[in-house]
Amino acid sequence: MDNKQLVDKLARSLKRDRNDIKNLIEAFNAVVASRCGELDSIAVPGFGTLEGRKKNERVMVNPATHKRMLIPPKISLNFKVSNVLKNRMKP
Amino acid sequence: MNNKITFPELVDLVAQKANTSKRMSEVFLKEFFATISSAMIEGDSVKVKGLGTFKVTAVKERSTRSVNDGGIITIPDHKKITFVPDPAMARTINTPFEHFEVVTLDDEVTDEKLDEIDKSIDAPAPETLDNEDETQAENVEELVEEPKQEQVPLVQQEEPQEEPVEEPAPQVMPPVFVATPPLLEEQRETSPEPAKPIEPPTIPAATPPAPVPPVAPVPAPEELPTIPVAPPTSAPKVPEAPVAVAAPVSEVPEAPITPVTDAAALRRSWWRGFAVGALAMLLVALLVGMLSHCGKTSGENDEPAIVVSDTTANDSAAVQPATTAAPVMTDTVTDKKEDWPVNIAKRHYGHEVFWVYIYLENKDKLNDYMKVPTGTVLVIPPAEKYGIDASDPASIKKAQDEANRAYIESMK
Repeated sequence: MDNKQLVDKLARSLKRDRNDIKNLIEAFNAVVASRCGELDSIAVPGFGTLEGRKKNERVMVNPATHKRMLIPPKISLNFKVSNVLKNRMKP
Repeated sequence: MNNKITFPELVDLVAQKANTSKRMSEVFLKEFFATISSAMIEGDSVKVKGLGTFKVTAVKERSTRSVNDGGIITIPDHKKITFVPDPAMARTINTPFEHFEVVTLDDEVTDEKLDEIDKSIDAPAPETLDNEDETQAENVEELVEEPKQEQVPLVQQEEPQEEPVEEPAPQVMPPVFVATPPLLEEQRETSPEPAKPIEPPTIPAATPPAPVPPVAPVPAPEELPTIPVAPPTSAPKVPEAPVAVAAPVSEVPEAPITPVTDAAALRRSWWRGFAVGALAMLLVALLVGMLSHCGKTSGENDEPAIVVSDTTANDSAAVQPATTAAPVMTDTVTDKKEDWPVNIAKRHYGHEVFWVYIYLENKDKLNDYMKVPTGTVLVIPPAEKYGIDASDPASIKKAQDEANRAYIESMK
């Protein structure tokens, strides 16, 4: 399901304009970006947890050239599936 | 940082961002996650624009050893959910570290050297953490002390010196105001927050700035006997904090030698340091007095006072041209949240890549390239000092190189 289908489906089930739905999704994204960027985690019951994680800098060896490289630190967005959803996924 | 945001909080945040009712936001979010979940349960991947893709991948059946009894068990084939963030989202989240690049290490850098670096980084780490905790756990008490703490590293010396530096502040101030009016305005915009709780006890202090220079030489002699009053001198400092910081800061890069020698002389004679500090104190008191009494008494004290104030006037004379020539700006991070150096750079220079210059000027106050704690006063170097020009690709490239160099430097 791509973004357009998702928006359409939500618009139909909520009986709202598609633009409203788009705005709400954007607002949610903005919240995720700002809070996970600060290493907070957003827990949604029955769905999972969105979490920003800081990865420290590290030294890596390029297997081809054997040159060692310093990889800078990074903040990444992780998603952990909730157990409820995991169980529902089971056939 | 590391807070867990629950669903009701999320509803509030989204409602605020989207300018809708909480009810609408809650209904939407529930439906949003329910729709995604049900699609995934059916084995369908879901792509949300601007957030990322929730992929459902099939995992084949495999056999493994049981942890409990060591027997062979088989894990049946099942479906697994993986999340891949949208590139735009990944970039936004990684903003603080966006400008680092992968650096190839020279052959001379051995593992032992890297270990040493690690150790040296580990050693001072708790110290900086403590500082951060202090500033973050801002009680009213700490607020009072805080500006002082920040001044000390700037001036790099103990109290006796701090006071003489303090004293010229009111005199230096007017030119600074003239030189960088917009910036000081910005300072005021951002700074009132920490200042507020302190203001009440020192309301008289708020008035001196404007008419100070003419009054300055007046009060000294009276002060000498009143040394017991000296402790309160720390109080007037506080409301002036943003201004006072501006003054000592400007000295450091431009005319480091003169203040230091002066200070050495002054340190030898502590009483004089006290006298000057007391002078600043009386200045405030007298001004209030003058406003009400129309200052007859001050006339009597004029003559002996000049002797003392002359020496300090010389000091400040040396300082003054420096400050007017290259106004040094400060920025106070006083929002509820901490801020990133990149954001500050973007505000001041128009491009976040120049954060490195802010970092270089404020090394002692920053750590780990991470957030600037609330209440930190940063020195913002003038754009000319490093040839900062947001529209010039060469300047940006230079800043990037500088950032990489500083990064490696910090590892050493």
